[in-house]
Amino acid sequence: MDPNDQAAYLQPMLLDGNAGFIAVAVAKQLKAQGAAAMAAALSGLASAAVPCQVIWGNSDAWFGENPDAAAVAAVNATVVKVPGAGHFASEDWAEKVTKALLGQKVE
Amino acid sequence: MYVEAPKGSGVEWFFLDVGRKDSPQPPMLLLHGMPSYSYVWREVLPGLAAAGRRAIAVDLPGWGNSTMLQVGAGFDYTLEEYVDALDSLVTRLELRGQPLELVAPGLLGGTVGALWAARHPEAVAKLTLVNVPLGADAGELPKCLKPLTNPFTASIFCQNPLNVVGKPIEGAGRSFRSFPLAPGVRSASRRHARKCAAWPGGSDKKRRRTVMYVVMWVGSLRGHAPRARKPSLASPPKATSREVCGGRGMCVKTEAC
Repeated sequence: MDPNDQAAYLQPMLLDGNAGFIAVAVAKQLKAQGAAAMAAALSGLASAAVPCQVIWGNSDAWFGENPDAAAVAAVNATVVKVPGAGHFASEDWAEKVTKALLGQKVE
Repeated sequence: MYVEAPKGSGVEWFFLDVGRKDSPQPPMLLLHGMPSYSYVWREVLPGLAAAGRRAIAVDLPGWGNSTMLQVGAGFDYTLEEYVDALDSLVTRLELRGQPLELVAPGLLGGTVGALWAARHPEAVAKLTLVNVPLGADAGELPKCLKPLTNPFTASIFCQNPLNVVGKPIEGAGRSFRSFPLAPGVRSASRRHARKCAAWPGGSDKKRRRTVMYVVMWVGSLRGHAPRARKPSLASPPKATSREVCGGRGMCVKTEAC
């Protein structure tokens, strides 16, 4: 990553003394309630038939190479894979993510 | 630009608004995951605007350029509060008239976005989830962020976020392999550790010198990023987008630039 981009990502963490406390609060919240919240949200989305799309960077080492098939089927989502992108897909392959967001074909 | 949502709460959202406001297609609202902010969309927004779409990328409260209220001072950073605040934001940005396309990436943005979309299905033309864990791993933090939920490491992180985010984040893609790190920070700390080990029970003078080195080292951590003034809550800045992006290291070309 470009050093300027790295600095830009870190900068807000250094500008405010609350940043660390907030990150910890959010992490604890996600650990405690994230799974239940996502399950509830998915069932809500499925029953309301909200059109869903899943964009997935194939090289995501945090959450695997594929989205969860059962959840994707539950909300009837279309899956667009972004080859060569990691977890932060728009950081790695902005052009492909833009195409996916606009509903165009991604090679 | 900044907007306060909910109104009067002191929670100010930073957002980038690009594209035609009179676009016939649904506006796109882009959230972000953790640890990041609207900066991840800097190369996507111009493409969306060029395609004739209106796109709004926001910083969630507590991240990026949005206000970082102290935990407990009106905003506790719970999922419920995030969803309510997002709801207020959609109202404040006057996006109620037509359904919008919500783009929700990552663990934080994905969970908040999916919850809001499930609560307001009529307001959502399309929900796009970008690398959001949906199955059994939903809500599970990646290994490199797990120290945030350990009481001991979390207390260290609160004092100095560099202790966690300064370390390389493994395997998150080709560019996030290494999170920002001040040059020489780790090597300096190793050198310092060697010096401490070499002076078991040293004299007072040496102890004082050790304290001085620690102070200098901590000072060097703060020194490597230029400090910009945060706008005060009392008077939100009425800045053009050029002024907002100037000095913050971010720029998305808009008409004002």
